[in-house]
Parts: sequence; structure tokens; C-alpha cells
Amino acid sequence: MTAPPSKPPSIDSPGMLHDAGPPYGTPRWIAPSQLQSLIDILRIENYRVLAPTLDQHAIVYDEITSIGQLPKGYSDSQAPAVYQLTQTPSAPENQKLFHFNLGPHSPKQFLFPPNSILPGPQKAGPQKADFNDADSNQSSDSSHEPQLVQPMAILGLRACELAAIAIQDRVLMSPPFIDSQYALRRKSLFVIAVQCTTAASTCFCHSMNTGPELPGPELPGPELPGPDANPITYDLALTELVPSNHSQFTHGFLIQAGSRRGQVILDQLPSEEPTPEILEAKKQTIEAVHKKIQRAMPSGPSNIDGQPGDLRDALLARLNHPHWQNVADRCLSCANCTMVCPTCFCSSVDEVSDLLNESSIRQRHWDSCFNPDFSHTSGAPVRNTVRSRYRQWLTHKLATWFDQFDSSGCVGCGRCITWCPVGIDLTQEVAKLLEPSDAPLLNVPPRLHHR
Amino acid sequence: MEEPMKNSCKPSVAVVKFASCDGCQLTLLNCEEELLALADRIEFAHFAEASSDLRPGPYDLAIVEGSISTPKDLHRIVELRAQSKKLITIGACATAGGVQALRNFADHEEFKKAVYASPEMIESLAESSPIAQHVQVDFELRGCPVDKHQLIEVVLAMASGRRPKTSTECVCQPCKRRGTVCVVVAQKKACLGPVTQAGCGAICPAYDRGCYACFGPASQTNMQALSEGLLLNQMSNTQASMYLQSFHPASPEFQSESRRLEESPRRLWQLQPPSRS
Ligand code: SF4
Ligand code: SF4
Ligand code: SF4
Ligand code: SF4
Ligand code: SF4
Repeated sequence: MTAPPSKPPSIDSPGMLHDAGPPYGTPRWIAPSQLQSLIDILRIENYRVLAPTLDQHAIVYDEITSIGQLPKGYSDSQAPAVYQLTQTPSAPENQKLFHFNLGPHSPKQFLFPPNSILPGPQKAGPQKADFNDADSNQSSDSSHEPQLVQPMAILGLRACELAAIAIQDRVLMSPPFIDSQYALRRKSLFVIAVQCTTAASTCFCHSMNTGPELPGPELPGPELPGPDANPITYDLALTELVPSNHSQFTHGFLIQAGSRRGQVILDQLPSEEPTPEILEAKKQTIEAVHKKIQRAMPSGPSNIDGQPGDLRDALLARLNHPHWQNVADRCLSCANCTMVCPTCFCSSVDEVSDLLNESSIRQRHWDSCFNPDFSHTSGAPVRNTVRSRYRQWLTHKLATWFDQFDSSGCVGCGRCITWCPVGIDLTQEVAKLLEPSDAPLLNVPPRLHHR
Repeated sequence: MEEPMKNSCKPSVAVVKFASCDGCQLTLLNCEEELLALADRIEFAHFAEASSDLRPGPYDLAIVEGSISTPKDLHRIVELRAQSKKLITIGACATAGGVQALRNFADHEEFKKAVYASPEMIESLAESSPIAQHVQVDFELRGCPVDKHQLIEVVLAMASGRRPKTSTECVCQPCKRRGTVCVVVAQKKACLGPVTQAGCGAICPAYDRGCYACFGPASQTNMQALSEGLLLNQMSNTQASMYLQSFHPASPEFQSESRRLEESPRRLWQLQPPSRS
């Protein structure tokens, strides 16, 4: 047995949902065909298995039953406002099942779906109207209880996506405010993480301290900044390796468990002990990914000690910087960036009545601070210009999120850069905003801490 | 918002057509199942597409399709307004002049000569104009044609005396919610979704083509950012200008941007032809 995971997750911490604890985490080596057995086992255990698939000229998560549905030999090339699906040209990379980075859809699509029906008031008997909410046990009407959906297993989540899930956990299921539907889906989620073995030009996880390496026994897991940070967890983690010229091994996966239930499944797969050569190949692959990452989020200007300054303070001091208008001139306020962001959680709720005005259902859908009506308060939108809305978005992600949730709201996945239809890149806008300007710096209130 | 139109008996509704293709009225007929339930709440007193029993006004609600295009229309709309407690318009023609407003940008007499064998027999106005330019309109519903769910919502809201719930966001948001992969980013196609009023459920990108803005401009638009940051990467100034004129040529936002594009020098380069398959 190797050492237990470097950050043993505690049951009490909000992000740790599975029963866990050593001994688990010993890396094993499996053949690609074992992924099919893995899918089969999960399906027998009643999981709906979601994984990257080819759809609509992109790689998106969808239900699969066979490894034949994985985008073998495909890759993506990404840049601001550009996503191009490509075929991986040469061996050995073209054998790989996971030689690509992030598509437009994130786990948010499934854990916090774009449209959902919430438990709402219903006409009960003639005596009383029943306004019990989802968390109440008093309701005898079972339609008020959140229904347990079929549990999901997502195969292929990357380090930054695990960090994004940890952020959404904190937003949507930290006591006392628990979104019961999110919590149900999240608690039943089985995570099979995949180590990135290549990086897109839009990735900047490294500078946000969320990737590219997955947390695990050999590599200290990245952790969200802030006290009491959620451990970023998975049930199983895969690292896909292909042989180079002189290698002794063939195409396969290093696999290790991050939870006890992950270990139970791993123990059912025929596996071998990885050779030192394989472990070395993994190390080199991760080093190569590091080198591939070109983008970075600028840190705040250096403070007196020459230490990197706080980006939160730097941005909040520059709310009047002229560059906000420069972005506003290019921004469509179309909300694509918030819709693709794996951490954005804003939604609106509508009561929709039936045709006879006799009952209504409560519908929730993703909303966005880029929508003018989103800040509609007493007669008019508070943020009625693109400038104020872009500023809200950027400062929420990178500054005020710390006050609200003790972490950054950005994990550096780069989706908002790729999927902005006019290619606005937040890392470049931040760099411009940090440049000196005529606007005097504002006094910044000290950061709030909640935990 | 206001009082319900009538409490004791069902509100009477007239569906009246001006210059249009009837597509929006057909949307009402396509409501099939819902029509029966609707008929419980309202009474169609005048709906030529559905019944030849055309009763005279006054009406509680007039649903107007089509634009004002002939001198005769001008009288009809004033009369209908006088006969109706509430008047709503449905569709791009009634709300923005429709495709026929393309003639507002051209020589109307020349058009008549080109199209009709005996142009002197044609009595039409030089411009096709939205209903609201002539009479007071209580609610304008966008779309070419209108969306069935929005139409039912507006009619029910009017019947209950409340404000209709129709979204003011742009097409990108429902597009993303339905899980469509952006055609601009993944397929280098042009799309007007970022400046177009939502309501259709983002149909076009889900079928692999850009939005044509048949729902008209969104509540706030950044037209210049759309041209410079998106359209002109895919097409020439002239093509972009024509693209903006397709369904809502008379909307001020689209009109001024398409004029600006026409007047600015043509781009010499063209990345690739507009994808409009
Ligand atoms: S930054 Fe880009 S994606 Fe975000 S609202 Fe502006 S134009 Fe849309
Ligand atoms: S702000 Fe952009 S880069 Fe950061 S997590 Fe959201 S989508 Fe990813
Ligand atoms: S950036 Fe905007 S959409 Fe995203 S969580 Fe913050 S307020 Fe909501
Ligand atoms: S396809 Fe069009 S409507 Fe959809 S997100 Fe892209 S720009 Fe917006
Ligand atoms: S996507 Fe655009 S063009 Fe297509 S139906 Fe909707 S509003 Fe009309």
C-alpha cells in the first residue's frame, strides 16, 4: 500500500460527499479495453454514464454505453472565438481516447441543468394551500419532494472541472442554503477524472491553481485558495499514456481511486502494477502539459515586498478604469461567457400557469448578469450599460467571489474565451485593467470572510 | 396590471389580417390541443382562418397580423382600434413592417412596374409600416412567425388582465440552454443571435445555421460590435448589410447599422463566403 492521499478528505467538509479514507489510491495499470468493463459495471450499478462524444462539430458530454462512442483520434484547436475539431494526425497520439481539452459543456449542464422544474406551491384540497418547500418533510404530497434522478457517472472530468464542481458545491449546497435538487444530483455523482495530457491555447488553470494535474497520492492535490477549502475529489482518476519510440509498454491507462467506492470498482478490473517506466512517462506527460499552457491570469501588481499582489484588491480599486468602456464597445452582452462558465450559478424562476389558470409550475432556468433585466429593480435595471454588466461579471468572478465564497469564481478553464462569439479574453482584459490610467484608485474595503 | 377584460362572460376576440402571409394566424390554429382550452377562456368572434362566422365588433381583444401597406389599410386599422378594448400585434409584419418593408429602402414606383402587369391598378403606400405607427398598441409580439407558447401566454395574460411574460434576453441564452454548440465559434457561421430578441427557443442554430433575427432586435443591442467582431469576419460589408435587413428592415437598430455598413468602404478581404445553408 502506498501512502494515503495527501489531503485525507473528512466527511464533514462540504465538498466531501463519498465515504472515504485509506487504504485506496494505489495506482494500477489497465488496458484500454478495461474502460468498457468500467462502463459496464457502472451501468449494472444503475449509473447513467456520461462521457465526451462527438456532436455538433464539437466534443460534448453525452450518455454512452460503449467506448466506441469516445472521440478516439480527435482533438480540438481553440483560440478566442474559435473551436475547431481536428483529427489527430500522427501516431501514437491518434490512438488516444482523450487527446483533447474542454468542450463547450461543463458538468454544470448535468448537476445544475439549464432548465428545471422546482417544487412549488400546489393546489391541495379545498382546505389549505400547501407551500411546503423541497426540504420540508411535512408535505405528504410526494410530488413536493425532489425526486431522485438516475445517478450519474461522468467519465472525463478534468482538474479544472473538479475545481469548478467544488466551487458550485460551496455555492449551492453549503449549509444553511442547500439547493436540494443540486445536492441530490451531486451526492449520487460518480466522478471518473481524466488527467489532461495536452492543453488548449485558452487554458490557464495553472495560474488559477486548479490544474493541470489531478490531485492524487503522488502529486499534492491543488486546493481552492481559502480556509477550509473543499478537497477536490474524484472516485477514479485515469491517465492515458501512449508509448514513445523505445517504450516497453503499450497504450493504456494509469488508474487510481480517490474514494472507497472507486476502489471497490477498480478492484473488479483486471489490472497490473505499473512499471517505473509508466510512472515516469506520466510525470513527463504532465510536465509537457505544463509547458504547453501559455495563457495566465495576471496577478495584481506587486506590493512593497515584491510579492504578487491581490487581484481582488487591484480590480476593485480600478472600477473607474477607462478600459471598462473599451471592453464594453466590443462586448455584445450576449451572456455566452456566463452560460459556458462551469461556476456561474445565476438563475431565474418563473411561475407558469396552465391554460385554465388552475395550477402552476415553477420553472427555473439559467440567467446571467449580462441580461439587462437581470438587475431590474424598482422600475429600471441597475446595470443598464454593457460597461456596468461586463464589470459586474469580471469583478464577480475574480474579486467579490472571494468575499462571498472565500475562493475565486474562475478556475481558468478558458471556456469564456473560446465561446465568446467576438473573442473577448478575460486574461487580456485584466492585463489592460492593471495598466496605469488617469482614473484615481479607489479605496477597497477589506475582504469579508464567511468561514 | 389592469382589470380582467370581462368577468361574467368570455372575452370576445377578433383576429384581423393586414399585409402578411397568414403564418402567424396559422400558429394560432396550430395550437390544436391548447385551442380547446383557450376556447374555454375566450370566444373567437372573428377569425377568418378558422370560421366563416365573422361577427362585427366591438371586441374585447383584437389580435392584428400584418403591416399597413395600402391606403385602405389605414382606414381599417383606425376603425378596428376604435372597436377594440385591447389591441395586440403579432409577428414581424405587424410589429416592424415585415419583409415587405424592404421597399422602404427602394423606389416604390419602380418596384410596382417590375412586379405587376398593370401597375396603375395597384393602390399601395410607398412604405410598409408597423401598426404602432398608426394606432395605439397594447402589446407587440415578435417573430416570423410568432412562437406558439408566447402567443398563448400573451392571449391568456390579456384575458386575465396581467402583463404578459415574454423574455427580453437575446437568442444566445436559450441557444446555450438548449445545449446547442455555437455555430459562430465551432462552424465559423454568421449569426444574429447576440442582438436578437429571444422567444423562438433558438431554433435556427439548433439546425446548424445562424439566426436571421426574425424576432427583431433585443432590448439592448451592440450592433457595431456585432458587425466588427463577428459578421465582417465572415462576409463583406454589403452582405452584412443585407443580412441585417432580412426580417426587420424597418427596426431602427438594424436600419442604422445596415446603412453604416453600406456607407463604409467595402472590405477588400473576405475570409469565406457567408454560410447560409
Ligand atoms: S464577453 Fe463575449 S460572451 Fe461575454 S457577454 Fe461579452 S460578447 Fe458575450
Ligand atoms: S470565468 Fe472563464 S475561464 Fe474562468 S472558470 Fe469561467 S469560463 Fe472558465
Ligand atoms: S458572473 Fe454573473 S452570471 Fe456568473 S455568477 Fe456572477 S452574477 Fe451570476
Ligand atoms: S449560435 Fe448564435 S445564437 Fe447561438 S450562441 Fe452562437 S451566436 Fe448566440
Ligand atoms: S433563431 Fe433567429 S431567425 Fe431563427 S427562428 Fe429564432 S429568431 Fe428567428
